[in-house]
Amino acid sequence: MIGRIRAIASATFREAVRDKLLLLVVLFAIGLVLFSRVLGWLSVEDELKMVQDFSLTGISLLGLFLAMLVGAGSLAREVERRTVYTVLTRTATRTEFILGKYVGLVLVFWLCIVGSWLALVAWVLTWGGGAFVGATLPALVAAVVGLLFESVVLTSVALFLGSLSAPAIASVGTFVFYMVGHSTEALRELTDQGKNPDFAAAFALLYRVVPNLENVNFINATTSGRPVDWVSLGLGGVSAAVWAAVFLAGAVALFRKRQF
Amino acid sequence: MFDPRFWLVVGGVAAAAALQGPLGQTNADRRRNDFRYTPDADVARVLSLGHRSTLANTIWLRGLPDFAREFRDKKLKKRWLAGVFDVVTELEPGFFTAYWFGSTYLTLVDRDDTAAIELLESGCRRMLAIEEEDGQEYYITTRLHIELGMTYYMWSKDKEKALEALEFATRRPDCDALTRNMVVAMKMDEGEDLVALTYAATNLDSPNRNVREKAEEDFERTKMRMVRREARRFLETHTREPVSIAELREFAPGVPELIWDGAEMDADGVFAFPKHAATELRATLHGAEYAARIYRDNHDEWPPLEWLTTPGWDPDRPNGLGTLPRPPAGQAWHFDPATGKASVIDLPQ
Amino acid sequence: MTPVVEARDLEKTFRPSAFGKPVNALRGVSFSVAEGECFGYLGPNGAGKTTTLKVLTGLMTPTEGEVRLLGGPPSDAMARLQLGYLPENPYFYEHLTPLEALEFYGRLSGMTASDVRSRADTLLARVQLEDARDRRIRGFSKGMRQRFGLAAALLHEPQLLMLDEPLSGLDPAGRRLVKEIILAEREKGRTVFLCSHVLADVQELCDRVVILHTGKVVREGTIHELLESAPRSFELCATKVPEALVARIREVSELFREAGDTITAHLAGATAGPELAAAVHDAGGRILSLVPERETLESWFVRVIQGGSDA
Repeated sequence: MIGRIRAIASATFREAVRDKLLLLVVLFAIGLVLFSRVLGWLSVEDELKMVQDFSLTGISLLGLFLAMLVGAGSLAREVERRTVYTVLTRTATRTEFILGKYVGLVLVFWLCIVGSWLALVAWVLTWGGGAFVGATLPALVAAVVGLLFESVVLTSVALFLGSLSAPAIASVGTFVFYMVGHSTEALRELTDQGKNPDFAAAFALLYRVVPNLENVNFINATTSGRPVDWVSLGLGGVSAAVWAAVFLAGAVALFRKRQF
Repeated sequence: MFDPRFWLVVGGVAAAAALQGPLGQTNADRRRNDFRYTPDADVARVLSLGHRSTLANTIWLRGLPDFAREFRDKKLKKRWLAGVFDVVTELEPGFFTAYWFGSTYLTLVDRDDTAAIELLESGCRRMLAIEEEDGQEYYITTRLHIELGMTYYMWSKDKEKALEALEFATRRPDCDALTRNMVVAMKMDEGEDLVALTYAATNLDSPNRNVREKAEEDFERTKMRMVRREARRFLETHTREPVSIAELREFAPGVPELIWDGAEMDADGVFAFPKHAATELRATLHGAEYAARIYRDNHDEWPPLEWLTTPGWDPDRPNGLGTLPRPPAGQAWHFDPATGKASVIDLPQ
Repeated sequence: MTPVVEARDLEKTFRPSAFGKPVNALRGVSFSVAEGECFGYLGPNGAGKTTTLKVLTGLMTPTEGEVRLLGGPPSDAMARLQLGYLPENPYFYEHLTPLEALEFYGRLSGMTASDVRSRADTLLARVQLEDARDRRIRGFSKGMRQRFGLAAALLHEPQLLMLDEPLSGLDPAGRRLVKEIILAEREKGRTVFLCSHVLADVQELCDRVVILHTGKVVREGTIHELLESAPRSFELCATKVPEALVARIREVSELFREAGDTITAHLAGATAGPELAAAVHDAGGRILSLVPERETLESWFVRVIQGGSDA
């Protein structure tokens, strides 16, 4: 079973890596990293803060776009091109197919995220020197690890929605998920401060039942020198993995019922 | 030579470009006094989708050019920039520049020290909460308190509040020497010698050699100034100079014992603080070497000694850092252009 | 002996949309394929051939009925271990090379990487893709894809080959190549399940045939039985034919053309063509060509449905 998942994952990986779309998305992210320097110049002060903040936001959006553009449509593409026929008529089960696709996609996305992140580190090193990078490196590492965790969840959601509906709808759904997943905490805080008490119950519920992507959000204030809470990053990773497992289980359940 | 369609495209682009310039100008003029909208801080927090720092940066970059821009509606400008400061610092509580530029703008341009103080105090509050959460101190907190203290001191003329904020900063090791010396002087004025000495002693055991040496110099100078102050009081009371350290000590029983440590009186009845002199000399030499290094970085060679000692010695390469004071009695400045080391040498008798 | 493939009373109903009218793609289809047999599954486009194949390979579950594939249900992954399937107009991972794709499929069929490598070269040579082994499949023509698909289906030397329109999209040389490969596999004792809408293709390859129309089996039997009832015709082209004979030919032919002293006649039936050709020859005329023509199943069925008569 592991062998077959690996085979599907590696085919997915190669297939995605060689796709021009991926190159385009990654170039966009790296372009944003380089462009962030211009925003730094505009800001008079805090030049490298601007570079880091805008770049990390860019890399987070990269993870989102990959899930939306590559992840959400990947199952539909297999079905549409009928490549799935050649896979599922061998000894691979549908569960293995979904898991293999997932692993392959996550690996590709990780590669893209880490690549863009390395571009950011090199860029900061160019303008800020070793001392600056040294001082903010733990925060930068935590930020990218958080983004990798986020990508784990986003990819599983994209696959789940992709096995449920058409690629365009799955893409939009993934985007909405990203928005909601990042705002439940802020929404709940709003009501905690006594504002909008009418929505308190709804927001509290939303906070519980929607994966909280803020748990793995370590991209804020990387230049502040605040210590990284590695334990909560780790727990965020565990939580991300659990949610990913839930969405994958959903994707498998839907995919197993599917008639081709 | 080309297809007519080619010229049609070229003509279209040219027409569009020609139109775009004046049109853009008209629009820019119109936009200049457009309504500026800053969302409520809470709304901004939700809208940021977790990218709080980035949204703070974006709003900051949007507001920055408007600092110096003339608005037809002055109230709009005030409201807009106040909103910028509020939202930016709410989104990123540690965004020092926003507090710093913001309070400077509010005092210097808007002449609204209440708003400036409100902004800085909110920063102090937020940073203290963060420090409590992290169990760690941040330089921003110190700087915010200094800015707050200086705003009270210079704009609100509220010495008490100023001292409160500055004292907070002074108690922290990362406070700059200038601020600390100011607080030490204010405390001395209030007759709180022990407190002043305690503040002056803050970095005496710093692991950083430069910080430690600077602290030693400041500490010794504080002691010396206290001894000299007592000597002046003695003169006013007795209309004569004290004849010995012991006599002066007896005259001033209230001052901390500590200040007499290292105080000397020579045969001519003049007070001297060899320890202060030594720390001061050391600081001066460090300063000279620092200036020399800057000179070398700019001109690829070490400066001549005269550049360090004589004001305006080389008009083409001015010494913006200031030149060396008179050397100690019986000695002369020396600079070794091979190593960049500054020192003093004894003059031949 | 247990049949290699067995279908009993298969029904498959699709609902194109939530409010659409259900479509019955299969209506009680039953057949079985014995080991070593080359089985032709015939029917015009839209008859339900591909649906049957999807049900047989587990890509779909039937609405009603039962399927056994190599002794087990097709949903059982292990039952599919001995299955080599070539879909209609196959597509593969576009950015892989044939070698990489074979490695991938090999691993999905329980082969080791070294097994695959040792087989890949022979296989690619066999389907004449050895020069394209390191090119991406993206740039392949339809025929190349078809040939590669056959290689992929043969990779793990399966007991059962299921081929959906294996000859479509191929040039004459490619058709010959694929036919040779299928015949060779049959020689080796493999069971072949071949779907096609072209009667002539099946005729050369298959022992036994089932004909499907609008989701129902309309005819089943050996290829000989079928050929007996299969409509055929001849196109006769001759020159210097005596006047009387020309008149006779014109009378019986469906289509007739005369240009100078050359005539071209379209003659229905299995016997009229050869008989008239012999008559022309005997009368001293010269035969330019006598081409047998077989209808496609489609036109046959069109005729059957329109004419209401059994073909």
